[in-house]
Amino acid sequence: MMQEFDKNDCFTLNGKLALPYSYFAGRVGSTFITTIRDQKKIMGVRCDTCNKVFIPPRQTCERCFSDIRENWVDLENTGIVTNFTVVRYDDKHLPRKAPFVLALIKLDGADTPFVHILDGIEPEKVEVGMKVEAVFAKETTNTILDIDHFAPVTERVRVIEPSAPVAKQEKKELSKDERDQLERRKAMSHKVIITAALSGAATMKNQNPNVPYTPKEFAEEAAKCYKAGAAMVHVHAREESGMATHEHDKIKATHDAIKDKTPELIVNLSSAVGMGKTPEQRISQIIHVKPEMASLNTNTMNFSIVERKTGKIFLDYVFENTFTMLQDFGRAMEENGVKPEIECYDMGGLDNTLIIMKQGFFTFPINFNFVWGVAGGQSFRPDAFIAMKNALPPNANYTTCGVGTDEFPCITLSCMLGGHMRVGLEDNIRTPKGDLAKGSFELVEWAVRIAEIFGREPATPDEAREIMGIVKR
Amino acid sequence: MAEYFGVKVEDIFNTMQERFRPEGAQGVDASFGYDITGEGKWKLTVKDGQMNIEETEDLSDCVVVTITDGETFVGVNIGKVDGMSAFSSGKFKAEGDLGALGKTAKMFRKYAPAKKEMSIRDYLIDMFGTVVERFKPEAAKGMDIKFAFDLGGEYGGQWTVIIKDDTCQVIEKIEGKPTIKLEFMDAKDYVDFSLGKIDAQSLLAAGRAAVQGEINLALKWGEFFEKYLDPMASGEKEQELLVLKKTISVGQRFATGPVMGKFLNALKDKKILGTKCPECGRIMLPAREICSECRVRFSEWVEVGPKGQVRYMDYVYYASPDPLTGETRDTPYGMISVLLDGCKGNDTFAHIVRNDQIDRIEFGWNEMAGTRVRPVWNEKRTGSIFDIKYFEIDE
Amino acid sequence: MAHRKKNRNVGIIGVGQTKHSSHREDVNQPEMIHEAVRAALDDSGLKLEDIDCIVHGNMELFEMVFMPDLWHVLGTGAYGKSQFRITTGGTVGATLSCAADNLVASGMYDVVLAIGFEKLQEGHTTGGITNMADPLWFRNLQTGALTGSTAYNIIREFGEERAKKASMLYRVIMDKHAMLNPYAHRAFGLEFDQMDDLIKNSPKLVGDLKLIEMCSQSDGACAVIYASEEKAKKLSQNPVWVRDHVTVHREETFCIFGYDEKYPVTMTHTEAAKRLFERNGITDPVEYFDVFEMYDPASWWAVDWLRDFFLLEGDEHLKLVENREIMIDGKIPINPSGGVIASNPIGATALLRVAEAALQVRGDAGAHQIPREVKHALASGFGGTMWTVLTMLEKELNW
Repeated sequence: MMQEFDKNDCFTLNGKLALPYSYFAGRVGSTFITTIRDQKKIMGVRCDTCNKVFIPPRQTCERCFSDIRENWVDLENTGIVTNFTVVRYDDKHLPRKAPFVLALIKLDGADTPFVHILDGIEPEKVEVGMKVEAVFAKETTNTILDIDHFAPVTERVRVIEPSAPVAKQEKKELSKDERDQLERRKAMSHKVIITAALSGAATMKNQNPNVPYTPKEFAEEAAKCYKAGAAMVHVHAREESGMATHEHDKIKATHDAIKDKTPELIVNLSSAVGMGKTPEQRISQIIHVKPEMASLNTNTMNFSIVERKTGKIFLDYVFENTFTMLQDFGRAMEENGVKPEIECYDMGGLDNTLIIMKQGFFTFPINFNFVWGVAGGQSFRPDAFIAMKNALPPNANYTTCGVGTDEFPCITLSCMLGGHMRVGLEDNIRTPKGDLAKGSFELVEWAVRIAEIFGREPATPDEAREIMGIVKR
Repeated sequence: MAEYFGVKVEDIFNTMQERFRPEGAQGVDASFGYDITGEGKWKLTVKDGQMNIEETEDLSDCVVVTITDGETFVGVNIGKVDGMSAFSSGKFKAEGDLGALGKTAKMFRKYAPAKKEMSIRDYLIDMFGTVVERFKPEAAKGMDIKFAFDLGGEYGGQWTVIIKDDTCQVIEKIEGKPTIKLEFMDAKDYVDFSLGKIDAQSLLAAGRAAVQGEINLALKWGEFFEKYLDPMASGEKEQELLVLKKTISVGQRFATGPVMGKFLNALKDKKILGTKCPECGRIMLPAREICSECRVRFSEWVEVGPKGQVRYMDYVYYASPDPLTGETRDTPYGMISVLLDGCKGNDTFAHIVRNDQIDRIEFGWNEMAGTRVRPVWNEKRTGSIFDIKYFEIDE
Repeated sequence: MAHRKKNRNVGIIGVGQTKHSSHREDVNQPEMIHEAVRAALDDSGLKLEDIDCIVHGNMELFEMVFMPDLWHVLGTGAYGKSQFRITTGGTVGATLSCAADNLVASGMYDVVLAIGFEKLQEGHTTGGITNMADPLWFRNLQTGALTGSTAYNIIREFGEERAKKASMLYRVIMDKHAMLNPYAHRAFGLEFDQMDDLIKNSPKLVGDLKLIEMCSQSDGACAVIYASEEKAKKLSQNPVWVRDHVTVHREETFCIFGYDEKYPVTMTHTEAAKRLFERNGITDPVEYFDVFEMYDPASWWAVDWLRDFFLLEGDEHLKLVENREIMIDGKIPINPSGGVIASNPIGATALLRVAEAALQVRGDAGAHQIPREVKHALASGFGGTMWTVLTMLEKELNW
């Protein structure tokens, strides 16, 4: 006989599960935590096979199963927020009272992000890409909470005003002006800055008769480029013979001629000038002329003339750009209100900048130029480009230029990825069709077409100033 | 020659041959010079996986010459001085090919200072000799404890560690009544135990050690005293290994369902209800819907007991945590299987027995009845296992 | 029930384990697992990419880690692979073996790595086990895996002196075996003449179950690699064939202590043994098998279970022990590895039985290798309220 159930018999009982346990961190985990605790230093481990730096550290690489327990790498206490969530409910198991932010933070030097608490900022203001730094706990718990939390580092990336002594404000957040500025920049993301590199130090009239030598020729060519859509011209002044010059007067004459004819244009002067110039010659002209922008080179490198087909060396030259020069030139430019355009001929140059940047004298945004195809630098490869783009510090712009046939592929990729473009006879004397260009302006016209394809508009010089953080003279 | 950290500069060079690792010297064909200020000059020549060390004034054909003082040289070699900082601070200089210098690091095993052997007796003297300096008064505040150690074997002896008034004192005998007495059949086991070479449970299990008195206090030794560090251990500090200790505690909510619900509700009325299997006739306690032996639903509710006979009791000496609190349960206690009146075979009912009656319980089997017991009901009953406090002997 | 294997044969081609010990502060869980995985890969000569699928298991609630299979990937090598988690209490290691065998035999995967582990020092074994019982009732009473009932049974049946001696003799034999096994956790160097002293002095846990007779609490891991017949023959010189396995469960209540022989409950060991031997045509298991790696949580149980597993009668099982036929050079060696009493990282324990049995068949057990040819091996797993798994291994593919 089947029994019928009575629902009234059902009830619930409260119970509890309370069990003691312990967790052994092991050698790797203990080293990680005790280093944070005792040295306020965060360490990861590198897998050489996979070329990845992991944090939290682990004994084996999960991908290739290599033993990596000894490959300790010091990481920075700063990093970038790669993602975050706002915890809006309270629970006794949570580390903070709600609301609080849990962020995925990719520490500088690491390849994997890790989770931690982001504090010192209203949850609404947290953004992906923001720079944060570790705040260490006063009392140890021998856990990852020996880093109490991460906090934004806005006070470090403060903009140094180019003129007038900077008041030492301790800013926890961006001012309204700065926030507006960021907003305006964001709104201009469809704008692309086209730079015309009119001459360079080594492109001669016998290669393309349209290379300017005299101030007048520079002024005319610059005006044509502006008309075609360029917002900035990059200039290596020449002597009448066509040789690159470091003489203050000649350079100032060329600069002024361009500005007189087309006052709107941004003039970007070279701090490389040409072969065989001393550091003093290279930077003093910038300080003398004070252009709105100037190139800043990042790496000592071969800068040679070779025949690519045969490998024959025509001229072997070492282009010297030591750390000291990077530091001194950069500081001099910033102090004189000249915005540096940071020239990276390879990833090393970018890394050099990231190191020197720690000194804190660069104003934000930082503007980079990826240069391809110099004999001594790297040739254009899309994956290298993307790697460099990904390695940029936050709040940075990038443009690109390529020597010879690298020119159009590299600017196309840059335009596609949201970067800017530089063309001109300095880099390349021919149009994509193979004809000698009628001038840098014709190459600018091609760049404008590329921008059109990707739905981007050439920025006006004023828009370019806004984007690059340049103060108009 | 002067000694630095108990080691002479000469010792480092004289042991190079025995520390040499041919596999680390593969492809090296060079001479390395060492100019140790005030000590002398040495030349190390490596070729074809072989080495030679000589004291000489002529270091001209060396690819690199290390220049430093004796203290730094010894310190770096035995790991007392950080090589990088010595190098950065200029105390340790190298002239010539710096890259080549790096190769020498792989060629040699680390220098280990010669050790004097320590006997078991030496250890015991050192261990008890350092008890006072290892004492942590703040951890033992207000404690009044006598730890007695009775260590047997050839090197054994008796010690008492007395904690009182936030001070600590050691005497080499046992007198009066200690709070805790630790007995080790062989003093060597105590030394191994203190050095972390063997665990206490193994020793206790094998009957090689015994604890008398307040065992819980014995476990606190580690809180009252800093860990004994083996003076024979290498100069390198043993890595600190972290252990996180926590108690997980989560609230739970269980639905009784109709069958268990009815069973528990009946307890409120001091009734024990079982369900009967229509096939094998077993009575399931606590009540269950299905007989898992016959795989059929029960056919009827049957009231059984509440008195019955004990068929088996687990006499529990081992303290386990109460899963409801995480607290360790008091021992000993008796967990009984009671065959309630009206049940037969294996249809036993599990509960605990009144603690002071554990030793009087007799088990039954087949036709032989066990001790008769009856439930002692709680005044306040909520429909839980605790509605019955325990069973007691039915006298 | 018919022979289980329908699709294809499966061989064990790699075995790895950690040294089992009372505590491993120097490694965290995935790091410890990795040691066993690495050892199994090295033993088989395989690389991680040769593994198609991983089955991973341990006891629930023992280390208080949720989803250990997820964060153990660093040690298991499951990154980007199929992985299954298995947790069936004390039998988990044996079930891991069954699962890996099934996954390969079915044709789903060619090479499967089974990993069992436990870090008992990190949790509370008995506290964890109490949670297997009904939270409304038995959880509040339960004593974990400890019970003196078996001791009581044997004493009642054979008298106190003979029973206690048999249990302690079994214990000393296991210690002698453990002394031969470098991976064993507890190897005390016990001697036969210490038995009386141990019976008298070893602390009691529950009833007549003494601390020395109970299994250890160990940290350790075990990994075993299973491959299809085709792959096994290609990848290994000496695969050990998994002939069959059987699992018998019973209900989760503890109503088995009535001691009334007229009303027997399902005794899973006997049931499992009967089924396995019947369908494989084995009439005399003591004759047939060359080694038995038994899941022996305590020496009392081990002695009692010999009768169950080998379908013996009367005091035949006691005689096997008393005549030392269970020693490494005896008629039917039991646990030449030292067994569970020596090493018990629970989630790995039953898998270790299979692993050790496979090593015996291969002849690779080292110092604890049985000194005669091992062709047929039996391994058992045990858990919960008497749940049993039996696994049969063979040297030749000739059944």
